[in-house]
Amino acid sequence: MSRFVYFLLISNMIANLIASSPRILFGKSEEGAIVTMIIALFFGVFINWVLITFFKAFPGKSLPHILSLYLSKWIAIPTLFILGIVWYVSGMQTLITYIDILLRFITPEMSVYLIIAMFIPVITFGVIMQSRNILFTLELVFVLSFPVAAYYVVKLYFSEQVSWNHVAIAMTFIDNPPDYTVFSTVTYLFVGAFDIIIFNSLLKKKMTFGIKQALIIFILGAFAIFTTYFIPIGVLGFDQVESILYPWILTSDSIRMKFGVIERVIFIFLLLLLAIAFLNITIHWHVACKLFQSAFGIEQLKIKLREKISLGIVVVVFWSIAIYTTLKVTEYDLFLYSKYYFNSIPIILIGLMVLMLVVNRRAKV
Amino acid sequence: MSMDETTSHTEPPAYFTRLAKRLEPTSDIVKKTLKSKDRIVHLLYLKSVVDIMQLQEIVVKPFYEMSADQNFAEYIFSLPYETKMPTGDEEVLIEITKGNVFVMIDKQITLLELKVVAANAVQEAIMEPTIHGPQLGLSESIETNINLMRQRYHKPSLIIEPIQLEDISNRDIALIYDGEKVKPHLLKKIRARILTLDVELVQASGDLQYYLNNKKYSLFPTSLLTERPDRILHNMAGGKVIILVDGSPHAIIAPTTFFDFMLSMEDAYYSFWVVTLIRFLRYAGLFTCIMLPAIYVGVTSYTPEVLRSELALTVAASRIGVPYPSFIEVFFMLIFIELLTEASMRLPNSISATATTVGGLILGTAAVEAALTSNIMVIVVSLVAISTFVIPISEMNYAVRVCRFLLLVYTTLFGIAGMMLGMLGLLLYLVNKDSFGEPYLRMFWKNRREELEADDS
Repeated sequence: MSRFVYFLLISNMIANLIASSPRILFGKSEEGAIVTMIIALFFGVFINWVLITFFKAFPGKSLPHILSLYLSKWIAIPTLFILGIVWYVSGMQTLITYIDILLRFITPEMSVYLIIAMFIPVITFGVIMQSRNILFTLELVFVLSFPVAAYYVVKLYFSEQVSWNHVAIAMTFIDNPPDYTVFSTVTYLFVGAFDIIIFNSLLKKKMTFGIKQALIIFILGAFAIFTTYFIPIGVLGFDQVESILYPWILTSDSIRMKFGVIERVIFIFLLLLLAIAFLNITIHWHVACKLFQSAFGIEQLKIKLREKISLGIVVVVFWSIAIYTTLKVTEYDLFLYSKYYFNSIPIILIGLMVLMLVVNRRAKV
Repeated sequence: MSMDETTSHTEPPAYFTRLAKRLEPTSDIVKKTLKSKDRIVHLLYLKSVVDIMQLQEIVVKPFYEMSADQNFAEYIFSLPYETKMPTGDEEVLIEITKGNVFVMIDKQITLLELKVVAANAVQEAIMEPTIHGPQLGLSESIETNINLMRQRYHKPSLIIEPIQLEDISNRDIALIYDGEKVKPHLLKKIRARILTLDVELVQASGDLQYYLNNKKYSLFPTSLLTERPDRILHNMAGGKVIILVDGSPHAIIAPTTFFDFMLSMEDAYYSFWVVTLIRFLRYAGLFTCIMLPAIYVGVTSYTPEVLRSELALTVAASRIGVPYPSFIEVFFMLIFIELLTEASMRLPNSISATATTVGGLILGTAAVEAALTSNIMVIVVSLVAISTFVIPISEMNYAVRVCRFLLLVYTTLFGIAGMMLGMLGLLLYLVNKDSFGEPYLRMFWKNRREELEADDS
């Protein structure tokens, strides 16, 4: 498996820390969160296995290309369109959440328009960039932020504030029946690798998915789930954690670096997450952009100018919807809609996998 | 020189006269006809570029010393100085202006390369000095430079490919590469780029590099100018192409990546841990000089709570009495330091020391005392100025200085989060850039096969 697939996977896992997912999990902490997380962990590895096994057969081809080869237009175009919306909303959800966090924690006096204006040029540039370069940026940001991230994680786990008793209390709720919302939220942690439906056109080398790869994803996922769920419970306490809007930010803020120039870990956390969240938005929107372009058959247009115009239209539409939604949506709405969005994810994934199965059969004939 | 002048009854042939006419009325043209009993040889050359002693030694003397039964034409054509005879008058004339001697024996013609170059002294490496490693750089003569390459790289696959540029000076340009290591499509691309250049006059490697860049508005250099033979060889061994321009003591290396600009040749001459430390310092310097002014603005004007409270108070206390917001202070001081750098670079050595002292020490202290700027700002600016000079290649140095201002503007508008996004934007810009089709910035893992191909869209 290409290292870029892992990067995509990890970036999605990290970006979810700031989204609504931890809050959804804590809301269900007495209603089957734990057993569902274990189920979802296996399901997450399973969907990655299906994904990689499917694309293994088509090295160097993106999903739109594959669909156009083996399926009728009447199925391919709506599929691409729906997937485009899913990916777009995914990016937008991260964007709105982050803008909200900026307004609340870093620059409270700034107007929301100014904060949106800050994102527009950089994200637009990222979205219209070549796919190859987006992956390179992702890798660079990972390398640059790895030391800080590693320090942060170590600091978290060895912090005196973490009360492992509370973690143990949370673990006692293992016997509750599973819950669908938790399942879909945790499943969402694993969909990062699905970005290769577009990026696969760059991965010319044949991928393999054996025990080793499955184990890596399993460990990554287990670590991500454990950290996302149990560390805030340990820091903030099992009873209180569900009433907090952004549990991860408060968790970070309760840790301090005694001898650091920067005393509060929260700023390191927020700036680090800004980088990851930004990349996550860029990647998702880039994928969405490519999906829409192929859904509308723009790939067929050979004239460079028209391609540019279509790209411009997509970007303008993306931003118009994003700005409108950012201004309209309240924190409660965001939480509610994120929940709806997460709930739809497993269904869409299963639909996509069935489609992959069909394509695979046709390709073999 | 002792030889007979042309006498009237041996008229030079028409072709010879035609060429000579084209070169007139320049004063350094010499038309000579060597004549003995049964032989006549016509010579045409420019005495300012031809080695007269050599000409005397290998053409004139043998002409008169050779006995009648020996064939003088055979002798001339066997000389190792011969250059390829181009077709067309214009090309022949260009060869003559380069320092070739046009020789005509009966109906046979040839060109002998007997050029003399005054500026062929190898110069000391000034811009990229190292403690170990070669102390001398290149010279201003292309032959000497090629000689320097050959002296250090004994391999039959070292290929020197001359290119004639279509500008008015007809300057010699040479592509130098290791035929075994270079990527063929890259070589083709660079050659095509040079051949399609539409410029009036190329003076040196510097402007050729600018024209090769092919973009009017670009910030970061996509090819590297160097004066060090060891850097040239280091890059050539890595499969890159070197472009030499006659008359310029710098070579162009293409394509380049961002990391090439952060490499000092010194790195090759020290032990591993020392080099690791130096590299770490260099990259720390790079980040400092780009981000520090922006951090200062972000932290003082937007989010002072980022710093630990003692430090935040120190910064605030230092700014007491400064009558304007932090971004004006930073812009003011940065422009001041840029002026100082520029001034000390252009001034003669003896005066520049005075200018730096007056500007840096006296003005800096006075500005703080007059409460026009804070003490900490002076420290920030000095730190920024020093860390800028850690970047080994001066073109990257300039680009980084511009970046610093752009990032400062973004931070001034959007605060500390703006700084982070601005840095990411810079990263995106650099990653999206390419140098002759090769990615400019990415992680280069050693010994790893290329996993990602360039996508077509």
